[in-house]
Amino acid sequence: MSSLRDLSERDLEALSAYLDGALPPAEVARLEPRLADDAGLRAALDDLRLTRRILRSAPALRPPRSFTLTPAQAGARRRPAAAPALRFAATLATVAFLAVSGLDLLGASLRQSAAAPAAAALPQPQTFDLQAPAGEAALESAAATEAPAEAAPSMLLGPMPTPTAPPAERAAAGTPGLGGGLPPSDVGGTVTQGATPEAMLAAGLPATPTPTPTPRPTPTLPAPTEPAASTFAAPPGAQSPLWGMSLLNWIELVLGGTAAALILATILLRRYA
Amino acid sequence: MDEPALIREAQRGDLDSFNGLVLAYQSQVYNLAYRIMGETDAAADATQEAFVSAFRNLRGYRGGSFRGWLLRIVTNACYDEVRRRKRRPESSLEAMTDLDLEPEDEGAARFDSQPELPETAAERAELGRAIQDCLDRLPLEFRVVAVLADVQGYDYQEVAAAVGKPLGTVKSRLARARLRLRDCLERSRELLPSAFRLEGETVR
Repeated sequence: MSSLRDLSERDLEALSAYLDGALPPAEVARLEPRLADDAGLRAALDDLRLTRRILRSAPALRPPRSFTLTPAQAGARRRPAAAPALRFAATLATVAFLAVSGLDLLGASLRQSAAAPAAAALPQPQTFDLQAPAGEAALESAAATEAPAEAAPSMLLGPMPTPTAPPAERAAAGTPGLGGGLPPSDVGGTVTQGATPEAMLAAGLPATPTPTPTPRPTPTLPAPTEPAASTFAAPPGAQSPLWGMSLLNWIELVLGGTAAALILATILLRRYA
Repeated sequence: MDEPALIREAQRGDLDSFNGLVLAYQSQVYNLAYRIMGETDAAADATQEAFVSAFRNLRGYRGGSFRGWLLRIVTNACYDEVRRRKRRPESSLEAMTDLDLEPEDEGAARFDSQPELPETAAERAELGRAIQDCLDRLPLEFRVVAVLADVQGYDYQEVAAAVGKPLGTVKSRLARARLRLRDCLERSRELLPSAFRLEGETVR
């Protein structure tokens, strides 16, 4: 019986297929003369035949119960069909929630960075002309935490000689109480409103030769427009309109709740379906 | 009702017709699952899952051999069940006790009734135990092919369709499975019924 183990893989496969009548005729024509001559090969074939016969004689078991489907089992097929849609909806809601939250956080960080002198370029592009003097002054002054909101843009646009900067700084620093507890953007907003007129009068007009009377309206324009621009993500308590902020928060709340509910529903469906 | 009519009705959602198909095939399906997994509980779970899956996907059946289509679903259900139980390996003891349950099924129908089969229930039980033990030692992909082709007696085309592999792969796996099974059965020759023992020795 050891002959079977001595066969090459090719011969083993050929004999196995030959046994089942599944060997192509060309290979049969090659194999049969070898079988006639080689007793070992015949013994190997007999081994395979006996093995197959033993396996085929394995007694069949009686099924322990009937496997007919109940209406509940048959109906259960529709529940999992909803699972992919539910999973997709849950993913979508989560992504939307994260996107809106990210936007909110981005807005918040922009507002924070607007208070820092180095990164405050974006929020107040309108104020640069007249507040240029205040900018360099603010850099020199460690106490001028409120002024940089207006100051940084001027740095980007190229500083001008600022002989009268200190008054602007003082004007800005003149409202220290505001800067203490409120978020930086609020401070920026109020300071713009509060400080720029003084800065204009005290420093801006004499200091800058280029902006003749025409720039004059601009400082008044930025003051109201600036908070409007930041309403999208401004926190409550600022002077900007409340409904815009709470709308964002409402969207976040609704999206977060929807995502959580959909995820919960998906988990429950998977568990009980 | 004949099989095509039952299939048609079942495809329209008629559960009674589908259950007619279940009754016709459940013995084959359960035995296939049992020989692949070697446990009655696992086999019952896979069988039930296979029929539920078949009912769900019945619209995907586009004619041809219904048994072949069903075999594919059963084989996949067995693979899934084996994977599931691998993650929860608490049922290894059941396999031992399942083999002891086998003698009680002496009245079960046989798929392949050869005249020289062992006569007594004890002999059949002994044979079934030896075969299952050797099958359990095979790698899963070899075992599935050996069970389909040799234990259940399906032809190569059906086996290839059931495992979703080319004919050449089936032939190769079956040949290797037979070689391993032959070695294993020889080792447990004293456990085999005398008819097989004697023939095995004469072949020598």
